[in-house]
Amino acid sequence: MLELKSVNHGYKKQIIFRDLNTRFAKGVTVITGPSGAGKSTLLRLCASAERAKSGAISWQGHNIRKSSSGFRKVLGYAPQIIDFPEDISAQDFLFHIGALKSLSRDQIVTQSLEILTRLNLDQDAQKLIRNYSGGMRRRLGLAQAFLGEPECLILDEPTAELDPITAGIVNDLIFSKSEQSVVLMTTHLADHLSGYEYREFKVEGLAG
Amino acid sequence: MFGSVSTFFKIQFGRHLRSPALWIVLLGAIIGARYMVPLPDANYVTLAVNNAYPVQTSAIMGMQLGIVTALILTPLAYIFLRAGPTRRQPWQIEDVTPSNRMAMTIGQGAADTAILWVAMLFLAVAGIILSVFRLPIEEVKPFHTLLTFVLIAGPALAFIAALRTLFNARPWLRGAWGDFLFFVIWMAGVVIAAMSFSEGGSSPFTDVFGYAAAIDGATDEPISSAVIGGAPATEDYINLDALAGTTNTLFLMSRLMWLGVAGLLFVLSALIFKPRKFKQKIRGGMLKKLTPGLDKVGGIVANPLVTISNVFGNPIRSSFNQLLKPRYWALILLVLAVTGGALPFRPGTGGAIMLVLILVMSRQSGVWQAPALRQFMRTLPAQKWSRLFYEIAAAMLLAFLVCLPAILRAVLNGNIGEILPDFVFIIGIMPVAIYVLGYLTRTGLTGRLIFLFIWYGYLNL
Repeated sequence: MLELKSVNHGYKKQIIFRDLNTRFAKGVTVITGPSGAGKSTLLRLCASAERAKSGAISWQGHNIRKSSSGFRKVLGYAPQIIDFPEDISAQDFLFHIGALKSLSRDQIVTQSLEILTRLNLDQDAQKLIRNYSGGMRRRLGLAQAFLGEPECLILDEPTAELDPITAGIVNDLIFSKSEQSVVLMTTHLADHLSGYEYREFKVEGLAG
Repeated sequence: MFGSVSTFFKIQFGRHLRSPALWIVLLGAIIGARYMVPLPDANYVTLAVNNAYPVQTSAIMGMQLGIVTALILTPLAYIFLRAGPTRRQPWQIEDVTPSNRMAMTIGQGAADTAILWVAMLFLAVAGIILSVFRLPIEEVKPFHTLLTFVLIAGPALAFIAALRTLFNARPWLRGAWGDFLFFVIWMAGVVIAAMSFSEGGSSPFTDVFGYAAAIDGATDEPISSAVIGGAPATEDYINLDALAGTTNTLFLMSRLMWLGVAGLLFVLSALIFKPRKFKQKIRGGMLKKLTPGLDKVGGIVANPLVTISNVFGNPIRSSFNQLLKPRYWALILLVLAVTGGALPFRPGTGGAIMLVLILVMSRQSGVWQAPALRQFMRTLPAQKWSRLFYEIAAAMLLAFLVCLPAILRAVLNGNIGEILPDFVFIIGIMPVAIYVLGYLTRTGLTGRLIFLFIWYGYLNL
């Protein structure tokens, strides 16, 4: 359970969240709202990539604003933009991220192969990232998030830049993990989720 | 055309002005000026000619500042431009706009030159303020300080901005080879001008940094030695006419010529510009066919060596493996390691090993530093300091393995004591410094350039 209590956040004079209180339980929660409302910001706060100005964000009762090290061991986060290191292969990238998640070599190899196969990237795993298209990079960013079988998955626009068939494959993968995990995601392609069961959390955004 | 130049100038100049790095540079320039014009009782000099210190005047202060800026601060200026806020350009958009490439290059190049000149003027003002404290008030002539300083440093800094623009023009110059070429050009510029002293006179037209010609023209005496930044054991003084050295016709014409060279380099950069590619061909196709096993060398070497635990071992293995990409580095390092076991370490083999390790480590030190990647990496369980530790440990391991045959050779020959400092530096100090610099400046360029200068010093030990 990921819980936000009295969270306030903003940039300079622009307030984005004021006294935000909510809980995200196991299963998929889709964050919706107009552009600029703060969907990605909310995901960054929940992923401990950014620190809220005040309030508490807790994972299983532990405030991750105070200490995020325990939470990060069970987190899989795929931000909207990753400046990938261009001159290493996708396989090396996944190995590095897996290593930093303290996975064993066997775990990384097994899990990478499974995820890359499901995302149709297994044939391209040896390619340098600079040769990846936008859609391939999106799937690679997603693949690293699944390493370590995280209990909390935070995915920012995981199906952007993907064709409908690949987006369907990605959604299948995400929803297959949702029984064991808290999944937060944003998407502009909510129509593609019609066959799945999910909750919706609407971010309204506050004027500056 | 002019409107486009103006637009690109404004954008680039504005980015420089908004950068915190600029204010650090300006602050550093003001504080640095204090040390570029040493106190009479200081245990160092910035300039000594024929083993004598120049008698301080406003013009001499300007000349000292100009020489130090043109010689020592130009590499820092290059780092500021190349690794500074404007290193990331929206090329994916810029390259497909209908805007004129010439206008873009000249506008951006002019902005780079202008920002370096702004820093130069800050330094000049600091020099003028210093002259008030260091000279009798009736001898303070701010215009003399400004003139001698600007005439030496101005064209040198424009030349640096032009090199930066030129090195953005071609794909192979955009990375480490561009930095290496800068180092070669800088060194050649210093050495060619210095050689003219030994040949009995200086030609300002071969002196891009203007330092030798300015000193040469400042005295009628034959110059037997000139020391910049050293400390000759003497209490003698020499009268130098810095104004004469920097305002004679030949010197002024040469400075104009070097400004013109900078301008031509901007134009050349636009003419030879090759756009970046969204997808680049994988390099080393032939090598890949000839050496299919090289891609796995990193893993093959690191796996048996690093088996401490998953927590430490895997990240070090991963970092080690990345150090040997592209694959030709593995081959080059292998050849160097074998050579180290067969030939004397100092200076040849050691120099070659050090140079390749500098290029490999500095490149890798910047790979994981892009802003969005760093933000994402912060969400991983491994803390940033431990990630830095893994990278440094992998680099140390690589340096140790490459040096190992040379170490064994030195032990067997009984001269390990003589070259132990070399090994300590290459294996222990260099990886730490390069990676910390990479982490702090978010680019491998700073470490690469600084260690190329250290490498040059090492060759001359």
